[in-house]
Amino acid sequence: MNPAPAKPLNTLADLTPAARQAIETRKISGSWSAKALLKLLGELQRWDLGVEERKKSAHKRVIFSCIAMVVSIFLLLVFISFDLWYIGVALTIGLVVFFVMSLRAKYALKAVDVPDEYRTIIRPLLRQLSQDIDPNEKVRVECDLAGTTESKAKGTKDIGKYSYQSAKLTVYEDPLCHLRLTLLDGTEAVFSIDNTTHKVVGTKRNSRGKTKTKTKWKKVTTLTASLIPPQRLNWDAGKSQQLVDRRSEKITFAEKNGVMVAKLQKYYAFKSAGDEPTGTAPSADAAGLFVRLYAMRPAAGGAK
Amino acid sequence: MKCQWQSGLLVMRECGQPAAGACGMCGRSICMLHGVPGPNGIACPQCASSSDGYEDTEDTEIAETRGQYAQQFGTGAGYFTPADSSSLGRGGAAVPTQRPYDPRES
Repeated sequence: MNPAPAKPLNTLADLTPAARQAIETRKISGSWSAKALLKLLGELQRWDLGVEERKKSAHKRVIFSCIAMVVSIFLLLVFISFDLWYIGVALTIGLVVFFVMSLRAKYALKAVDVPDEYRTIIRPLLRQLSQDIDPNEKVRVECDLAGTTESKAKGTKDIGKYSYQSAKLTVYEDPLCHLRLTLLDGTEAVFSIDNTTHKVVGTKRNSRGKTKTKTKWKKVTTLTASLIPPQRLNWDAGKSQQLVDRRSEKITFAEKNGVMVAKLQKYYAFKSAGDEPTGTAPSADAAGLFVRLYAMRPAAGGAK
Repeated sequence: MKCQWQSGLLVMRECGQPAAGACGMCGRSICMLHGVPGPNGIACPQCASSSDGYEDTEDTEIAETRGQYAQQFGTGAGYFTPADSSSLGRGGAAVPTQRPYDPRES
């Protein structure tokens, strides 16, 4: 198992070509050996930690430059009264430029950021299953690193007045990652993460005629684990009753290509106001879905 | 005497290597590969994961994960046994052959 990444990576030049390509193209696809994929995800984790640190410092710079800019305007008046207006103007212009640059740096980081799910869910899952994956088989991967972008918007509609004068709902669908692994006993394990994000932008006018907008977000993350056994077997429905929490989980058994495929889905909702929610599903839950599906297989000799 | 440690989280299988000693805490036979050195001598990954002073290895991490799930779902340790593999008609899983890592492989 790979040791926990220690040092964040800060420039694209620090990355291997595979990781750089993943960041630049915003996707990981194809067939990978489990070790190569874990190595790539380890690098992406270090990159993401670096981006998170830089996002925090960029945010601090934006706040600092904004405050400094306002103070410099008052100072400008003081400098003018002492007939040193050129110093005040130079200071104000300098701080405005610093503010604009800080703002641009903050938004530029969004373009190279990797969704947190890769380090909080996918990498831990692969590490936990590393001894179960058949080393002679490749892991098939289809991952999107772009996050919630406007191109993923499925449509916008006006949802009536609500408590606002107008409220517009936009729905984004983001199939974040799809993995297909072959386990040592021949079972195929399929894992996917899908995010559906709802954004509501409400506008209202106060008594003084000022228009205010407020943005609310809701992200629904669906973790899906499926097991495709190498031959027909009857899943233990009794165990599935005990092991599935019907409030937030759904279990289905469907026949596909002559075998019974078990699929367990778990849903999470994250809400926030202003910025997009940053919460992710707990890392232990992903492998837990597979552990429970394995527990639903018939006991030895019980296959029919 | 053979190593009694079982590898894997979902597809558990006996290690089967010759034992090099016994776990200082539970007495389970353990091979050189799976023994974890620590303050109470060599321990099996299961005991090492629940005791202080032992280094974290791939096996101790998986042992800890197994314990968490057994506690969380209340299914006990018997919910994934080597016999599960035979129910799928494979008669137990083969021990994987390690291939050298190729960084250009994708």
